[in-house]
Amino acid sequence: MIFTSLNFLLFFPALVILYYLTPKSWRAVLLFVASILFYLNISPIYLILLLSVCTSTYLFTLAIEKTPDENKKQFYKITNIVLILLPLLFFKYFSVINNGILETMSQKGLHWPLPEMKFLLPVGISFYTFVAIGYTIDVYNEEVKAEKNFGIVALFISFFPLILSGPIERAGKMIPQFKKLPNLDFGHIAAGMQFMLWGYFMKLVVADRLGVYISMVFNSVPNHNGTTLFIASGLYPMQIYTDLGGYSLIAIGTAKAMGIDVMQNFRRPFLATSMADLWRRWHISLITWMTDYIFTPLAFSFRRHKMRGTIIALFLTFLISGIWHGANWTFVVWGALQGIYLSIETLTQKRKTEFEQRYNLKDKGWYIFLAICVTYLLFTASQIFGVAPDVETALIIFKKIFTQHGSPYLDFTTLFFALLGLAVVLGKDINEEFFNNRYGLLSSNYYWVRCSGYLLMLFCIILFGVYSDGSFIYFQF
Amino acid sequence: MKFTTWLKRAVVFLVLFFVIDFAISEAMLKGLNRYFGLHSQSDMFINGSSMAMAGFDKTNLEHSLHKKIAFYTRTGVSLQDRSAMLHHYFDASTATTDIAVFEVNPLLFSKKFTAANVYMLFLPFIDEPSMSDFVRSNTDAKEFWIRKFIRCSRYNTDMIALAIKGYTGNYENQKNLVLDLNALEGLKSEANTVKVELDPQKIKLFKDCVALMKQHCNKVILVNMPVFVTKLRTFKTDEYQEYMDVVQQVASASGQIHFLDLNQPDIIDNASYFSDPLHLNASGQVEVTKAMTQFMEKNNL
Repeated sequence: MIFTSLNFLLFFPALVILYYLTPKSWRAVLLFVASILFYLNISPIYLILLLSVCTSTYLFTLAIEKTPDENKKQFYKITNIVLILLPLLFFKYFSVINNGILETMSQKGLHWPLPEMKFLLPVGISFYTFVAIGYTIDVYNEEVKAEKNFGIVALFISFFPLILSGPIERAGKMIPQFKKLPNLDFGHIAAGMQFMLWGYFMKLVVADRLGVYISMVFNSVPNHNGTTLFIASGLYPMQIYTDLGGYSLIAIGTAKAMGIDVMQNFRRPFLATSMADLWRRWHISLITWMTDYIFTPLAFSFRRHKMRGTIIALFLTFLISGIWHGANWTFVVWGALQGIYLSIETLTQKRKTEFEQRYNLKDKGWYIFLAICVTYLLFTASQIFGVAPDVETALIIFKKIFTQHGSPYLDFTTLFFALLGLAVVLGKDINEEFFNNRYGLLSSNYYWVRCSGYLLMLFCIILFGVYSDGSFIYFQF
Repeated sequence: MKFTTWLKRAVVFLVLFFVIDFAISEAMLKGLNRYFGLHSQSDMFINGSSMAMAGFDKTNLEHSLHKKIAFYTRTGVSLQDRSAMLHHYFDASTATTDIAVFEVNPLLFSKKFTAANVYMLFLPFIDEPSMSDFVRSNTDAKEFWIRKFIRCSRYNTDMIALAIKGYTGNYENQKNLVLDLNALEGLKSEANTVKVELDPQKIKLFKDCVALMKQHCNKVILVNMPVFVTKLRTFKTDEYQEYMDVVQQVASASGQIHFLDLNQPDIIDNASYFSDPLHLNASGQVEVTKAMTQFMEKNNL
């Protein structure tokens, strides 16, 4: 039961009605049962794994809080992190490592006793593991108190709107909300629906239609010239933005309809004027998670190396992020590229700021536009390693883009509707970024304007949406 | 927000939604009916798959033959779907059609040739009894009733494009791609290797289709659509001949039926007429439309 399935569209309104009819003290129980049912519907076998992570996290966080001994606290923290990370590492990297060893050994005429095993990655494992790790560290750092109620901890880790692809939330924000769920407020339902509507629009009208063209091109790189590959590469970041951004908005809206606030995951990323700015706007929940639990501890441990230490920490953080995205050299290069971009920016930041101030560039429209374009191009270049199946193909794509020009392959109907939808999404972003949302149809003070906006979007989704597959890009991570 | 205000707004929203849903879907249905020539009186009716869709220019045929034509062709349809289309057309037509043109091709009797979601092509006609049964038998109850309830969900961008074409009367083949002969080099080694399946059930269904057309029309023309020569040669010669025998046997069984084989050297040898080995491009469409006109004039049809 994913967000774009018919089952979810029937499940969600029924749940909202039931939720508000249930006495307040039982609503958290209902949400937990709904989350379990939701997960059961997608990945029944792996429910045991999810519940194990919940149980382990619950027990160890209580133990961390209870013991006064600092060494024991540290031991409990590390034990729980290792325990809950093991399944993620196993499912994500076992096949790759095993196949690598098998291949190397067979090349040398040796036999490796373990057979080739292929496992389906349990849906949402990365996301609920990150949530659980974050909670464990927060309890260890005494930023939050260990929750005594197992149901609340389990609900926090398995909360159905967020379990599949985030946003990766924090205990400090979510647990107090679960413990004090709000009264029925139609404003919450309306706001939630608004988020969901945008989410569905981004996913079904834009992301999936762009996906039709992009996969057609990248599935047969040898058959396409550089011009076509340039267009498809340029559109790919937009596909990820509208796909994961759309998913996040549906998740945020689903939670909001039940009166639960969830953090924003994207903030107009393609209006960023530098890579650092882009990473503050892109997949915010993952980046803040990585900053708090990977970058900051690393930077702290390298602090005596000053600027060099920060750069090493930055580089390692993105390398880990790349490896998390996939056990493939392409993602290692992808992570390294982000590290290089950000390191260069960090090293040149002072001079850049001085230069901008001297010529008063920060307020100039053309400079902002240029900075946006350069940032987008840099990000696009790195994303080629995100979409290519191997480094060799990625390099072929680059080579073709620079050397093999010709008339592009254009699927007019697909691109027309996709770009029209994309223009709406970017128009909304520009309106929010530069015009303080003055021209937003859905945020108008007048009911009739809002109503027209809702209807327009709804019919766009029904008529121009792509309903063939419906899976989200980030499910694979 | 007060419950009554919220409820009032929700009701207004829902009413507006269903009114607009009805209006948009009706406008599109009208466009599609115009495009396919359904629910109208026509002198001639063409039924086929994407091969016929790319092959005939309805507007040109109408001009040269001075006949009103219903052009009911869809991409990706199998013989079962074509049979449903025939029933749909005859149920929906307001008067007798003089001539029925039925596209045939070497893949017509193939068992494999069925797409699981082909019923989606016929969703706009879900309110008509013959198509309602066809769609219902191909989908689950949940989907069926959602399509019934939210009318716009029956359409996708392809159908919107066809509805617009129905209003503008544009039947031109807009494909200007030309076959890349180098890319087809590999096909030469496959000469006389590709099976032409002759599923007995499909042959029976084909005969039923012809009988239905005979029942509703004065004349029936079976048109064997052109296949690019290199591709045509990949079919096993004996099996291809068997397929031709079946079609010709049906054609010769009654004076009411005519047969036009468009696998003629002046068409199939010319790569500039094809966008891919099975489909004609804009230039090919001109030639095939001309050949069809000449055939009909020659046979006083």
